[in-house]
Amino acid sequence: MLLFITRRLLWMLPVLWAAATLIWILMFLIPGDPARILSGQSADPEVLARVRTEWGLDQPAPARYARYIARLAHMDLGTSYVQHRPVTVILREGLGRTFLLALCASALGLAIGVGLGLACAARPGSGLDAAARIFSALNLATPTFWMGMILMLIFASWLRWLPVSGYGEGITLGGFRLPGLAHLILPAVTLALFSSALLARVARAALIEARAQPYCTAAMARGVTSGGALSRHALKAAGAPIATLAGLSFGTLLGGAIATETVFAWPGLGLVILRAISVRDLPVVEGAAISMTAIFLLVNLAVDLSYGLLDPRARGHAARFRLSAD
Amino acid sequence: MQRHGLALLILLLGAGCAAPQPPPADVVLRYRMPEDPPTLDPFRAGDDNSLVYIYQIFDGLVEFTPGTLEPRPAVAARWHISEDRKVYTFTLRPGVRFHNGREVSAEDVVWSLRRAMSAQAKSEKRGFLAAVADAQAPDPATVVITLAQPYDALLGVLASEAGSILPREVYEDAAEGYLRTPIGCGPFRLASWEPGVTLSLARFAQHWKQPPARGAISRIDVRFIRSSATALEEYRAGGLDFLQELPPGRRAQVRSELADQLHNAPRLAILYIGFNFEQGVFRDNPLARRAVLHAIDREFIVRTLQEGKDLVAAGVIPPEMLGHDPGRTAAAYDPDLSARLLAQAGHPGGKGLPEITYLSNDTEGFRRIGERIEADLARVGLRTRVRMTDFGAFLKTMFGPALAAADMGLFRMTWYADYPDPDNFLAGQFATGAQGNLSRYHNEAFDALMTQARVETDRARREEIYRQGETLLLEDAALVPVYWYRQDLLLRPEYSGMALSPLGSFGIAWEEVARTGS
Amino acid sequence: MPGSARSKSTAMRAGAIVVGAISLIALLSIEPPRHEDGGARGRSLLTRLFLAWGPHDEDRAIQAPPAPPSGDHWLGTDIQRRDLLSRVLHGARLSLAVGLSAEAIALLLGLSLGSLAGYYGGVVDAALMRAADILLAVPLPILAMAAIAVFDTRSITLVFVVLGLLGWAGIARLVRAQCLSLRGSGFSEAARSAGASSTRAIVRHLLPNAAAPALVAATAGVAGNILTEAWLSFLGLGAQPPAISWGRMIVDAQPEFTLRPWLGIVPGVALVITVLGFVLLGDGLRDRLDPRTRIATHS
Repeated sequence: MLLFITRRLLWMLPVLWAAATLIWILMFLIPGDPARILSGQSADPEVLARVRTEWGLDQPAPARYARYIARLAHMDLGTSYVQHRPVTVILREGLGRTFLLALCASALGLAIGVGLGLACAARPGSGLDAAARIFSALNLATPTFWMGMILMLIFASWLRWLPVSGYGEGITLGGFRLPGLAHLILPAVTLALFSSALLARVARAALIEARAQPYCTAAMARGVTSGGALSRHALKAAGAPIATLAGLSFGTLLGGAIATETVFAWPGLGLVILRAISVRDLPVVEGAAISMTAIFLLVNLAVDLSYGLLDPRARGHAARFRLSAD
Repeated sequence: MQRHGLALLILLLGAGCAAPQPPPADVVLRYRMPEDPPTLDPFRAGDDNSLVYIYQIFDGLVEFTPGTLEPRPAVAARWHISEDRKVYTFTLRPGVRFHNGREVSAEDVVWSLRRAMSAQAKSEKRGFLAAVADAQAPDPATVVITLAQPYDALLGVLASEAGSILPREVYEDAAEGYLRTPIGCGPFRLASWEPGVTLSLARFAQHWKQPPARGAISRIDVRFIRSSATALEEYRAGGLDFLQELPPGRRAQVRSELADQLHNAPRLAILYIGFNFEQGVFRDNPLARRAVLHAIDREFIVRTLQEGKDLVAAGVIPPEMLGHDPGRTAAAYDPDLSARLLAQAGHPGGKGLPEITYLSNDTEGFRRIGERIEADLARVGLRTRVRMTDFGAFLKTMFGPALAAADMGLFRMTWYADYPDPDNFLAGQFATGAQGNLSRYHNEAFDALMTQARVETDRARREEIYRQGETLLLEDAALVPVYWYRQDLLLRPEYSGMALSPLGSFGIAWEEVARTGS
Repeated sequence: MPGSARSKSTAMRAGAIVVGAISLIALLSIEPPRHEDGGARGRSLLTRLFLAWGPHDEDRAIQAPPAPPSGDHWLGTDIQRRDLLSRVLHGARLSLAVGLSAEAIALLLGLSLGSLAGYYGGVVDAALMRAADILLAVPLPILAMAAIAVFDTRSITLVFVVLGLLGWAGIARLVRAQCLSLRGSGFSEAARSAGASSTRAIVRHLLPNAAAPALVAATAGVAGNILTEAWLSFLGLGAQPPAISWGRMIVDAQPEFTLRPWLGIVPGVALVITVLGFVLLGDGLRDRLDPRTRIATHS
């Protein structure tokens, strides 16, 4: 097991490096003079020259790239051009809040998706199946930010059950302030609905197939009722592809979170990134992209590790569904 | 929600009246800004997000009389201008102190001026003090500033943030610690700053100005709330005392419900459409430029897109500034005239013209204006491509070396006065070679007028020359003025003594405002 | 079960109808370059034949824009006094154009790279699949956003080129898997021993078999691209006016959404219907073409 983890972590490193390089290249190509941003949009050539020397912007590209990689190896994401503060500090709070939102949405989406999948697989072809599939299809087709706006309109503006926007005041755990529960509901549900849609479809197909497998039919022959067979045996078998998809769609969830955060004024990474892009605060954009990639890879690692909990025979299924789920 | 807010407010007021009055030292003005200040160095600050604090933390030799643009004594008790108007002698007020307790001397003033003119300190204000040839401190209470040429705008520059007086020992720090702990001699000092959350200014007890007898503001607490809609809700619920931005779509509603608290303040800023004077159809074709002038529906932009907040611009120099001509009327919206002019210009119906690129940086408001302009120009036959970019790319194109190569035929420009003088507002934007001349407009007659006006010492004559210059620009259709900015402010009625500053909300002298209501 | 098969083909037919209808609307929305009476924009067939207002026509009779739905404007107008119904219908063209072009690029790249990887194996395969892994590792929206932010111009072309260039990985993996399974069954050896060149072997034997799952993935890809374009427009990184984009319409409606919800609801519904059409179509294609899932869903 430990070997497996180490191997996977080592495999992550080159991928992370490649992603970091890709991001650096993109940022390097962005037009606009970082010196100007650093100096607060000064047009004075002398001032710009000083700033360039100070920040090492006048060095050749390979040297700058080497410094960048060296920085990253020390987990140093650099200093913001605009705020003159370490990027790690700027991202820390926002990342924590976005990650929390994505995690809650993921969990909720998983619960809804698997639940719908179970309901459909229990009685394929029934009215319930059709209704659930239509519900899933609609969720899949709806852009998350628009869904957020609609839910906000109904539940916050018209019904007044939930707050319109913001983070709210929750308890503080270890220096990190948690959101108010009421404030968490709408954004989390918005994201969860979308992620549940894809999960429900895959869960349904995987569960139906698992039901047809020998170990399930054997259980049914032993007199275990359909419901019981599904939840114990089939779920374990289908768990792998479902989990895989949950891991993969975490990335899409992070993307959806960015837009949803602007709708709900959720003070997470999304707003930070958007603002950084518009003012060309490149270190922040770089840092955010790399952090999100790293998190995405870690989440998928966790998913892979969870296969150990599920039926090892189902690992084969995982591979197949990974392909067709794209 | 609004009824709850009202009930809450009544409850709070009632509680406030019933409880024993807190000591007068505890008047806290609660303010909102969308985000952290980018810098607290007065010589590097350019936008509202920073200036809001800088105008409170720092003082200069002179300050603007609240509500006007007239300089009056501040750290300097009086001054004398020589006959040739090239030597200014300032006598300092005794007993002025920095926030760290040290007394301000003439040496500090001279040091600060030199710093403001130095590239080493990355000062953005060097250009504004270009007229200063030398500054000396013959004794600790006297400052002598010598100019190369007469420059009547000097006092206005010194009253702005460029004239801030800094303590040398703090601002010589190579590690730039002063960015987080600024020290000035202004009425408020920085008490605390939690980035992304709040920033607090506390009244400086030893400030030279006498505070109002009762209800003087002892602290300004700023909360960083990104969304203007959320901020408005906070204000309504009683969580904020002052708001300087309304969310879009709400103006009519706020105007009717909070009429006694809403103020529409002037600003020294203009939004206009500029032409590319280095290449393209507009460079040598004044008829084509005038066609654009009459094609755009300014009234619609101000009345509908800006919800009536701003003022249609009839010229360049805004009201409140020297040189403004109240008799001018804005060019009429006349698509038929525009089409005729275009035909006269040799391009009837837009024939023979390639697609024109309209450049602007991307904000919600500018997007709408861009759409409007594209539609207005399309109506007379001018095909336009709207190119919205982020601010960095916009600046890169506009400040880049050659507009001749730029992908831009028209651009949307917002100009805020750096200091309140037409030398900055008019000459600074349209004189050949001026830093703000983004269109690269070149007109020798105009340049001559601007040079003459800069050194003119008779105020009335100076104003006349600037008016002539403005007329020249408008007749040549050097630009398409759209609107002069104004600012919506909300202030609780229990505060009195606030004078609207033409500079903008950051110019409000909070040290003179008091909470007199209950 | 017969019930499920029938409902499945109903679903697919519904999807096909929606896609067909939207495509027709998009085709009719093309605007000729010049107006007869001097304006810079012509009127599309859609406007001429079916609508009272063009998507850029201003109704100067409206005093206080935006106006709610009325007899004159069935879906109301926006703040620039333009008819919303006309704008929503004309918006289909952009979504479809981006969705289809981006996927066309991704399909082309995916098919070629995937079959190369599957056919040659070895180093080529390893390199291409590593590249695919990296592309799949960084979340697509983040990458697209960063890539578009690189350029200081925002344009439709940029959007679909970026989406296409970033979207080949999934299809490539599918194609490669097909190639691998075919290799196992001796196809390529037989073809080569018969004297066929490698390209011919790929094109004639591997691709037709890979086409089916690739097509299914591509249909899903179009749906995803339409949503991603809307997301990019929402963030301001997509098409610019005068191009009409549903995502753009939604973000423009956002500040005053609680006061005037119809401005944001209508383009959102249009998006949902369009994407749903492609999703259902894709599902139906998968059920018909992909033998594996057919087994799984028939029970």
